[in-house]
Amino acid sequence: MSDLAPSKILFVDDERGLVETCTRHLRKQGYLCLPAYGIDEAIALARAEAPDLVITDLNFPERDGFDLAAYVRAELPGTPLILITAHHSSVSETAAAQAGFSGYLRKPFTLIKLSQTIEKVVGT
Amino acid sequence: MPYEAYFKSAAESLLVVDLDGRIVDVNAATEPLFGYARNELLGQAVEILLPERLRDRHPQHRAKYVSMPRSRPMGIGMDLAGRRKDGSEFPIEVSLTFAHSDDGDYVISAIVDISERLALEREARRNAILSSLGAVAAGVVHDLNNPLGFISTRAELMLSDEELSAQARDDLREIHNHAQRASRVCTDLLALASHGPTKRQSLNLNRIVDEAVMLVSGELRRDNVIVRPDLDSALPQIEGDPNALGQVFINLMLNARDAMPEGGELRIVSAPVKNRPGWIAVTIKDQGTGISAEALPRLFDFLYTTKADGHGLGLWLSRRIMREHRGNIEVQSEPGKGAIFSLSFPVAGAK
Repeated sequence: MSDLAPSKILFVDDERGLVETCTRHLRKQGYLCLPAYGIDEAIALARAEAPDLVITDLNFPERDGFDLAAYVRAELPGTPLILITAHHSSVSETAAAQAGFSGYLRKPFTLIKLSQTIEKVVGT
Repeated sequence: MPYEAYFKSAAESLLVVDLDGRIVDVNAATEPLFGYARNELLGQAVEILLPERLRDRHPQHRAKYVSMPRSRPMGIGMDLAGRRKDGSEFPIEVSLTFAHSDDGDYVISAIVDISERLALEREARRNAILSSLGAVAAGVVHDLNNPLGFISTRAELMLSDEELSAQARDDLREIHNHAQRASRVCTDLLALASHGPTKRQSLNLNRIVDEAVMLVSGELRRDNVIVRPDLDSALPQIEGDPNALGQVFINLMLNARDAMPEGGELRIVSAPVKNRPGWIAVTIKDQGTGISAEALPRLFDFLYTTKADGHGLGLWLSRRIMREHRGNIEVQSEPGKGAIFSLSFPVAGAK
């Protein structure tokens, strides 16, 4: 972490319990964490807050994590993205990388793994 | 005579038996099937070819057949088995033909070894059970995974609170460990459910090992297990599914941990296989309680476990994953002397 303003992380998942746990964990780690529970809400937050990192689940009822990635790549170029997938998801790391995700988390993940993935992606 | 030629060269074993149950003639296929030479069988009671447990009642069956002879398959639904000269048994199918000729009456039995067919049927039945089990498992696991993930991450979050009492910290650790364990059962069941070709990519085995070690090292350290990797940095790439292989290494490391309740050292070595060009191997060696001679041959069996709280899926699944990678998994162990699991893989592009 830099000495300047803390990194702003947008965390998107429709599982409220998971979002709350991860948000609290990331705040404890010194990040400024913005929770969102759907893609439209996430896009609105991304537009307003210009996060430094976006972590999103893949599956949502309507639009999915790839739609959010497309928005971020177009409107906030250079912002790193981490994809969360269900354990049995058929989306491979390679497919995620092609969609612009530089990190990949498979559920269930531990908070340590979450932190490690963030560190790997932002290169701290 | 075409009949004679048929008798001599038929693929099934043919026995000509007189009404007293003596073997009068056998064809060539009979010799390798039962392990006797033709002249060892001629004149013998046909019961010589039966397992001892079936011998006593066989003369009765013969008498009944002769009293009402017709061509028919023998003993549908009965336990039909042949016995080789060396005493080994094999399942057979027999059809009987009553032959009336000028020089007397005979029964001709045609015998086919059905071990292979039975094995295929068993395999098919097993696969059918597994795939329905898989479908059920996938549904249940899907619903269980999220709440389990919630429990373990929330416990993890609470553990980062420095003001916790020692008791609360222990309790949370237990909750976390148990939720993780339940989660692993789910993961194994899901892997079981998701058959079909795995996603292949070119990968460096050392990286998979490193990631697996990173994932479990915290847990192992708590149980006083020290992981000592010794990875050959010049290892060539292999083709494989990183998640599936990661699962194998995690399974083996956690098993090693379970085998070392007092803690100990876990050595993980990657290297080319000696005397086998084009193959590389990872060996995982623990200092645990070792594996008994009885358990050793069954270790990779479906639902076989030596642990009180085991579910018998981990090693079975590991072997399945290794087979999908055209690799091998082997174990050497003696009670009290630890265990060595060796995983060998063909190098990408190697034959």
